[in-house]
Amino acid sequence: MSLICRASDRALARLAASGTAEPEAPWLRRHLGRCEGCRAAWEAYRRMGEVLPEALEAPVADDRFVAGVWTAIDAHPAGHKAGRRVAAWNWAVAAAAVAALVLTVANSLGPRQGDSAKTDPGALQVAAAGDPLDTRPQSSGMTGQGAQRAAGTTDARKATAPKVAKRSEASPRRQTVRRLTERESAAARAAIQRMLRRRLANSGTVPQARSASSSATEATTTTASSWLDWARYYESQSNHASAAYAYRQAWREGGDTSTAYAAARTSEAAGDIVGAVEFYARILDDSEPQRAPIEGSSHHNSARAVQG
Amino acid sequence: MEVAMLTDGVSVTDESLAVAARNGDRAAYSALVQRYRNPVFATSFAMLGNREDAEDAAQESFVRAYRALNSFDARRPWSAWLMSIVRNLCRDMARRRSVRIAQPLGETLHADTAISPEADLLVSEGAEEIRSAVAALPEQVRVPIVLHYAYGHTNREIALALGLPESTVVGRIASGLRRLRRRFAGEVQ
Repeated sequence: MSLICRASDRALARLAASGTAEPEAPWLRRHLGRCEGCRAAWEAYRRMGEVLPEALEAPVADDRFVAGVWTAIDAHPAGHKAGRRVAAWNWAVAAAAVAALVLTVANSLGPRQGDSAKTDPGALQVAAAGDPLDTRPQSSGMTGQGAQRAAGTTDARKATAPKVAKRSEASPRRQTVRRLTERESAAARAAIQRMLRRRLANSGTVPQARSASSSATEATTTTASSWLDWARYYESQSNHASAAYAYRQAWREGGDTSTAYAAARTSEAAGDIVGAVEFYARILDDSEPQRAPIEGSSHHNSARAVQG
Repeated sequence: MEVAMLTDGVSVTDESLAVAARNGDRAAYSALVQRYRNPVFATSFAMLGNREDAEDAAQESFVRAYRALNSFDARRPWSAWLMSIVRNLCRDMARRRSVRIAQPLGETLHADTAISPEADLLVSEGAEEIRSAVAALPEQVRVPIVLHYAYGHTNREIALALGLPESTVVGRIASGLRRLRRRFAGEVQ
């Protein structure tokens, strides 16, 4: 086969593939006129175009094809957007189930000793109802399954459960304490401190508190001094809770107003607002009667205006 | 209104139907399946060579496309995206099953008048032999031959289905024709 015949064969095949009825290129037409082999090839390609469609089968999808697609999709919906939504929802359910399991296990173990006062407001309420300064944890503060299980273990605990419910209801005293600690503590502290500063400024000295207890014994003074030493030590260590306790003990052993003020201050620093308010109030209660207003002060002027 | 648009079948583009299907419109996806079931099935049959595998591949292609609708870019043609799924799936199936085309199913080829001895031989060959010869072609040649001569697809449609330039499709069909002619010419000699 000559080179032109090879070129002619390629060209004729492409012409047949593109559906051309007759070659239009002049060189190809001239070559077909001279070359019998290429003319036979062209006839063969044309014939293939007629034979192949009849020889080759061409099945088509039946009418149930669309329904079959939907059946397959619905049989395995995962992967589509809806399926992803379901998957995401399943993850949320799994996370919620794990969280519920953790909470259930935690409740079934029950509250640890010393935690209820921090975690359960009910415990503080019950404690405040009995003693405003006693915030020790109460077993009655348990809630949830742990409380139910604890209440169900013994008859005695069953008997205490209703009492707890009654005590946990609001009482005027507890409400007063709680209102002080939550709403008015800041204003009360500021007011008390302003009053103390004013009185100290007016008198020039710290009011002599507990003057009625001036007959304290030497042993008591020694004990108070020891508590004061401990209190100062704890305060230097920034252990405000222990310092407040030591200052309170010192005040109870015969401390003066400055000790009460230190007890209030450290209690406030330790976060014991109830204790701080109590000692501030005791300072006010133990303070001396109001002296005459200082000459030239606003109180003195207003008093003169009233008298005039 | 939406159903009317779907039944119209012309005013709604493939891409808008795909977006509607992505938003949960099953009727829109049914319309897409209806539109493309024949090209998809034909391509599957051309690549796999038997009806059962082609049905499986075509159905699975639409299932995969439905599940992958979130990844479909509506700015690109739906047909190209769908046919790429079909091609990849068919190649995977062919690789797994080692499927080759053309188990003879048709009747004998109707003889016709021949112009040349070579054409005479071609005509005299039975349909089974022709299908066997086509089945023996390489895939890249066989698929456009089947789509063009069996299903009557134009070269442009084949190019779209296979993701090829139209000139490449013509060249591959021409290559197949030459191979077939050489085979039957060899038998003549």
